[in-house]
Amino acid sequence: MAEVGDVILSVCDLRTHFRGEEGIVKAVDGVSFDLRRGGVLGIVGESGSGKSVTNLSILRLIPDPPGRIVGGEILFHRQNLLSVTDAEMRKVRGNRISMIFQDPMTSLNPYLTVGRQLTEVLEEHFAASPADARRQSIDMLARVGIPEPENRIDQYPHQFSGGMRQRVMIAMALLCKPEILIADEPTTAVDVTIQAQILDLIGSLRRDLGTAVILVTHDLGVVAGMADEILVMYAGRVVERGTADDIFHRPSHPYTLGLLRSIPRLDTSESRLVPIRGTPPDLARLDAGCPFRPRCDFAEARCSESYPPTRTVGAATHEAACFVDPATAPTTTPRAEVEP
Amino acid sequence: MGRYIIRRILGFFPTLFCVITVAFFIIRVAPGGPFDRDKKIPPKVLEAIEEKYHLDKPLYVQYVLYLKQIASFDLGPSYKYQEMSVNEIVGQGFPVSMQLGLVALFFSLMIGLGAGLIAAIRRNTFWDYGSMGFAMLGIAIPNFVIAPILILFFSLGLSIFPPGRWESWESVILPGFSLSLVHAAYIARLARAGMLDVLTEDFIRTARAKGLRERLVILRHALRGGITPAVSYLGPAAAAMLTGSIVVEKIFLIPGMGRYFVDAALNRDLTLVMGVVIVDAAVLLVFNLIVDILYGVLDPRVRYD
Repeated sequence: MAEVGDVILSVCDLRTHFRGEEGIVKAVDGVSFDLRRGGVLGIVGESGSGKSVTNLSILRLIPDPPGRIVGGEILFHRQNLLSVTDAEMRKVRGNRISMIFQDPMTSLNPYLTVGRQLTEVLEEHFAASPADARRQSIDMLARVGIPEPENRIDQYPHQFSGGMRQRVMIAMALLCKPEILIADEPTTAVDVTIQAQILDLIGSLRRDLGTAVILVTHDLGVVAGMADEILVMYAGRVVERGTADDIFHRPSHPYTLGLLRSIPRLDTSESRLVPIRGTPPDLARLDAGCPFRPRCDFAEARCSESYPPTRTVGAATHEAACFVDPATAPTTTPRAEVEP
Repeated sequence: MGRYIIRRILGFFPTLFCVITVAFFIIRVAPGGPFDRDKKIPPKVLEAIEEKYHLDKPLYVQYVLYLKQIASFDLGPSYKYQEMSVNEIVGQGFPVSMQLGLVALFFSLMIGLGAGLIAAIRRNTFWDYGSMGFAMLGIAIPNFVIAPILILFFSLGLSIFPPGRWESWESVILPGFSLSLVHAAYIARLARAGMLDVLTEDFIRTARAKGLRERLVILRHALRGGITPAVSYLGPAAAAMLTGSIVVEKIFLIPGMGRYFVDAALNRDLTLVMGVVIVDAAVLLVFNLIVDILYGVLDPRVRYD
């Protein structure tokens, strides 16, 4: 594994809200984390938990209106990205921090050749000559495992398979050798067999280039093998953070516990999966209490009064935002009594 | 691509045949004939005239004779303008209408795409509301209102352009503009909607995430997909502009095809009506083919087979 170094990105109390018809949706509400050089941060949570919005906020790609970053700081090498000019922000995007998206079928422009979409990044950020940009792009395509890159560079995205398109996206993101790669559900839209290949690819490129990675996923299995630190998000906030070991072996937030129980396991005879009951909350109608409590097996009276403070569990790296510790506390609503 | 174009052009002939057949019989179903006059023509004279033009023969014989004539690219004699053949009338009027139409097409593309793109890029600003308000006016105000206003202002007031006639390049500006306005308005609305649609696509977010300047995001990544709806509209719109407009040609005294549309039908000038219909159909077919080729130029996923 590459050497994990200093903190290069520090997100402090980020708040991104959307103005909707039903009021203000607090999609991200007070998220903080640090990313170290060469490190891998996993962000896990359900759809709508604020994972993607957090990352789009880092690159200031939130469509405004309706979205707006209303608070917090995003310090990249101690410079607050939220206060730089649009032109300075463009120099960061795709160059020092780049991003790959969930759906490689729609994230590449169908009207332009793959080559055009690759070379323009180098032309934009390094004023590379067309010939030079093309050579570097072919090298990068070869590196991400595209066969015959000198021919395929002139093809259009629809001539590539889903997995190959995601490789093209990765090549595009890494052309400028960024310090940070944000991978927003990079394996969700591709075949299971391709998923492992894509993750291996991100892992090996990270080792070779020393790029720090933010890996966003709703699949705990994906981050298990890669991430140094994992954030579990729920309803726009971080509910638990810790190393992969902390999260998998000592989950300390009922939501994390629920996520883990809904993963199929090979090492136990228990074959039934236990889903988290209920549905994610409406982010426009949150009250002062813990947003997870309607779905929580450990909910108590105080959970509806105030949002639980973050407490440290065991190791200093391991924190959870819950009044109770699911490892020791009794369940207050046994599963059998819950409505189906 | 070459094979596709050849196949499409070969396909013109059966289409035109259907158009000719339907038009031929529909015109003859309408009451009245080309030689009906307020003043009675002596029966002998009428018989002689009808014999000359084969109008005394059964309908199917007339139809076969007409098809034979068309096959040699002869549209026949005009019944009304006795001294001219339909080929000559079309030969004089069509080039004029086409020049006017091309200028109008150019105006409608410039104004329409310009306004539509600005409206989409500056969405919900003064520019957007201004462009779309202008487009609503363009659609709502008929050109027999626009044209006199233009003449009043630019000819009689400012004396920049002539108020009518087909003489110099300046004569084409005002009629071209009045003819283009309604199409410019539709193109503006279609281009705006198309651009707004494309700008929500994932690949636009990718382009921004790559750090491209907004100008490149719009021109390189969004434009092609965004103008596709406007391009679809272009086929029928171009055909409509190029085949002449009665109102605009009348107001500006332009010797184009437009006036024959109505005059020929009112006079029951059967051969001239057929001639105008055939030319219009042919222009429409050609422009639909051009639009289909443009789709392929804009979108590499379009295949011709």
